[in-house]
Amino acid sequence: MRIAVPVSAPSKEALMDEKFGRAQWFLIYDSKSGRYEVVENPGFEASSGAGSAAVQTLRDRSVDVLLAGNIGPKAKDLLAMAGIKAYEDYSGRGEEVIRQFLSAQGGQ
Amino acid sequence: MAVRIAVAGGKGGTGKTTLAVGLARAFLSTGEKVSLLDLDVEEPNSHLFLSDLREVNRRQVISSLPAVITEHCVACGRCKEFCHFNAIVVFDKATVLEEFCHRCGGCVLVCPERAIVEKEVVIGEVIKAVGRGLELVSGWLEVGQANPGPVIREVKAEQVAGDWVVLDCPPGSGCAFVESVEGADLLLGVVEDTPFGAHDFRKVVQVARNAGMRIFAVINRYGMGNGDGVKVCEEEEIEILAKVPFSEAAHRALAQGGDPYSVSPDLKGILDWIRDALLERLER
Ligand code: SF4
Ligand code: SF4
Repeated sequence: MRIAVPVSAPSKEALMDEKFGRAQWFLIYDSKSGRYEVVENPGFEASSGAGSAAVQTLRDRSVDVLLAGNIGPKAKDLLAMAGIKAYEDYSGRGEEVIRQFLSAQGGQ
Repeated sequence: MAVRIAVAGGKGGTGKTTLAVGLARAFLSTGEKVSLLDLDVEEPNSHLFLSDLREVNRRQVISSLPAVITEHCVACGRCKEFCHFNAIVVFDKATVLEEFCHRCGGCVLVCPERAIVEKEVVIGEVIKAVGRGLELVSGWLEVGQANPGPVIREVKAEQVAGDWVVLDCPPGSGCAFVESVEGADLLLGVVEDTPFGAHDFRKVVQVARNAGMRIFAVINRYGMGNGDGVKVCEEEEIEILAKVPFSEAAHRALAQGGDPYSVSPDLKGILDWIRDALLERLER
């Protein structure tokens, strides 16, 4: 499983970015390899369609799950279209958020 | 040259249509030729006050949108990389996100598989009606269409005969509003005397100022707010032509489709006053 969190700096200790579509980076955790990587969101300064660029990036990186603070209605539709499960109301540091999610899932 | 007066309210429900229709009738009563353009294409309602007009013309507004032929798409992503508006996503196949698409046609050209074609869709209608010496052109945006711009442009492109052209503009101060007021000689703001009304009117003023328009204001439902609308006009140095008090009787008559110019002598008097003030300011 690959899990993404929008973050406000390119590091796994960085705080989550509230605005999913406008976050500059995504922290991605691969539960199989146990590795973290950071990718840039090309939509972060887009004047139009930031959400679609963000969802495209996640999909291109084969992300399965997105953990975020809040996600707009259009972005939600796109995430569903892309087959990415999205969960809202998370906050904290990137790595913590991912751990929280995993432990709630039964410690995968 | 015809004088184009944009009637705008900022926030919705300020009585903008009442004023636009009433003012058109006030000009008409002096023997002037008047055309009224309803540019609030998402919710055109000028016609509700002018139910005895006769429809003389109706035409569709067509716009073309890119459409993906999925069987031909090989998901190469060129269209998505080209699109400056992030209006295309490619998951298994390309999908055009209509609400972001600016109809530049670029994706059609760059697709190596010719998997994107222009598809024509009816996005609205322009209806012209005449009667009582008045000419009304209304734009209607189809339900579900997100972009009112092309319909507004089509209404404005209609040949009209009036010496006075009154534009009933959409609420807000966004793209649709900007498109509507473009080319107007002056803006008549219908302002509610409330914090909301004042806030939205200020944005309308910014747009009109940048476009070099003269601006006048009418305070509507005067006495029912906190004075913020009047304050904004003072701060922005905008002349208030009239302060219209709320009248329960007129309100009820208008709600039943009464003509603003005939529902009450008070309202008629105010509309004549505004008309004369405009004539004087424009030295006509
Ligand atoms: S450019 Fe053509 S083939 Fe490539 S993804 Fe877009 S629609 Fe599909
Ligand atoms: S027509 Fe232009 S804006 Fe619309 S999807 Fe194609 S490239 Fe993007």
